[in-house]
Amino acid sequence: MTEMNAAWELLRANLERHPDKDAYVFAGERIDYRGLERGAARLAALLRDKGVGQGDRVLIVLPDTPAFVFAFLGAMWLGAVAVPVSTALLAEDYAFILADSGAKVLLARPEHEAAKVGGLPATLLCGDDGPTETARSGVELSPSLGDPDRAGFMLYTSGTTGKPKGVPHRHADLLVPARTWGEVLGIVGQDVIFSASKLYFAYGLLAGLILPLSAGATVALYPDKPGAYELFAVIAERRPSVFFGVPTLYGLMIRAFDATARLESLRLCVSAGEALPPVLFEEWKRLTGLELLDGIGSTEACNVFISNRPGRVKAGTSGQVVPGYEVKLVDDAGRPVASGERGHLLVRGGAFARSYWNRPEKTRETMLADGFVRTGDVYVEQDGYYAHQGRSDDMIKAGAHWVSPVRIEDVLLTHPAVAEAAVAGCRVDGLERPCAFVILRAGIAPGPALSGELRRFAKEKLPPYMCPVRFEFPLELPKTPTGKIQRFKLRQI
Amino acid sequence: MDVSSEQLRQVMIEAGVESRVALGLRPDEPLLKQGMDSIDFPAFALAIEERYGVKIEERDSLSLRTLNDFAAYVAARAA
Repeated sequence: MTEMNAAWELLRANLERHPDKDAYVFAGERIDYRGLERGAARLAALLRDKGVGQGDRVLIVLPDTPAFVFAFLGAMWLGAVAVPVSTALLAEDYAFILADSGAKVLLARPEHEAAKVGGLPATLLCGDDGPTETARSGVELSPSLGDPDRAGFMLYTSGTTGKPKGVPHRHADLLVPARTWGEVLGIVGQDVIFSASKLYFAYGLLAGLILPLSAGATVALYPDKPGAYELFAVIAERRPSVFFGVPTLYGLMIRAFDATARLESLRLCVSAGEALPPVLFEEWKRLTGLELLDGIGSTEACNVFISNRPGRVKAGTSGQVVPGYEVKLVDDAGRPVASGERGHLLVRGGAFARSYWNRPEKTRETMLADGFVRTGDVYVEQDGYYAHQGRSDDMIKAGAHWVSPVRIEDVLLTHPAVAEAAVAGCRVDGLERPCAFVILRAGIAPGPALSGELRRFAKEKLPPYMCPVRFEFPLELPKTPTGKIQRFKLRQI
Repeated sequence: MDVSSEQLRQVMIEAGVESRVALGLRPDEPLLKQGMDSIDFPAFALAIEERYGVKIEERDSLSLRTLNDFAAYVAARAA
């Protein structure tokens, strides 16, 4: 076994080849690869001052800024485990993740909800460029070398019960995407990359850190949640050659598109996070002349394992299996299905996590002994192309976010008019969205005004993407003889 | 069937869009420029379908940008 440090590996070739090349561009500031190394090492020294050691978790709740990148690479540099988490969660989610991960240090902006959650040994408050305090020693550390299989970073993904689950990845996993999906996309050092998907998502981390640093490219960082018009403005200003987005966003951009859009810098547009409806592919191509490469990956894979290829796109499919991965479609009994038949998607290879954090039961259920991982997606294969058909569980993929119906139902049940609630996916403009089915308490009449009230109620208590787009008021909910709600009977997709 | 901007704003409020957003909408300006987002947009489109009994096709939906666009769409299709 050769000892290594994946954060260092991502930087090393760039430092030898072009230390002065821009790695990140952010709000008029440029950080070259030498600056990136320095930022990561300084952050590592500060973490060490705070008592962080090998294998300790470092929670990162930061927008897409240089601070995020330094924190992620710096934690790994030290041999700790970087744990990036969405900035859009609720206080209760942060409290849960802090406790579940056992993080030793939190990095967050001072005004952010996460910084107000107590119970941590240390919180490092950050501006755009990193923590406001510096290491006492000021020593720039060498990267901590170790077993490639030791944990290097951990991502959180939503679970069916509504509680997020940690997905630990090894140092070695960080280097796999470049030689698999990265080869399919053909990312090169001359590329300038802009990802609308945030670095704290697996897809955003791939697009805005793993793939570009592996290729020695430049990334344009944008910290806010951009609307469609802002995206066009950023593309015109930063002139990326590769753009990463999600279908929901491409839909909004198509609605906002006009002849003044300056997209001439783009050579490649990539989509993942939810299945791309064919109409979005066709309209995007008609308006921009650019292919939209759709693919499917997962947090567990920290990669995309089925992807369309430039010049060989089949609209309405996630594409072909990415080299380095093996895929099979099976029926409910685990037997392979024939080409053209629906089956549960199992994948192995690449950089798959080997377990969930502290969830042995979920690990056994999902990560099988032969190395295959259950994705929960149902697919059909034809001529080597895989088309998404839905989910085999109750999870909903809305706006590229995982949504647990249970979480929404629990909130709706706190409304005084609601006696029972069930949430399932419905399809709007080809994309899946949460839809609520509500049994009202006696004496309460259904109607549009109540729908609006319930939606506003949900909006106040849930992240926006979890808010149901439609409320229906059936007389009863489909249930098993034991009283369990059969959400699959409510799906309209 | 003629549909006024006022009626559409009402449908929007019933779909859960904030009143201050819905009531402040200019009918000829893109909704996405006036505070509507990727979450409110599908809720509004579904509420329109339900209220006026029209089916908004996926491709058509991508060209409905303003309140006036929705009003014209409904006028051309609703009984």
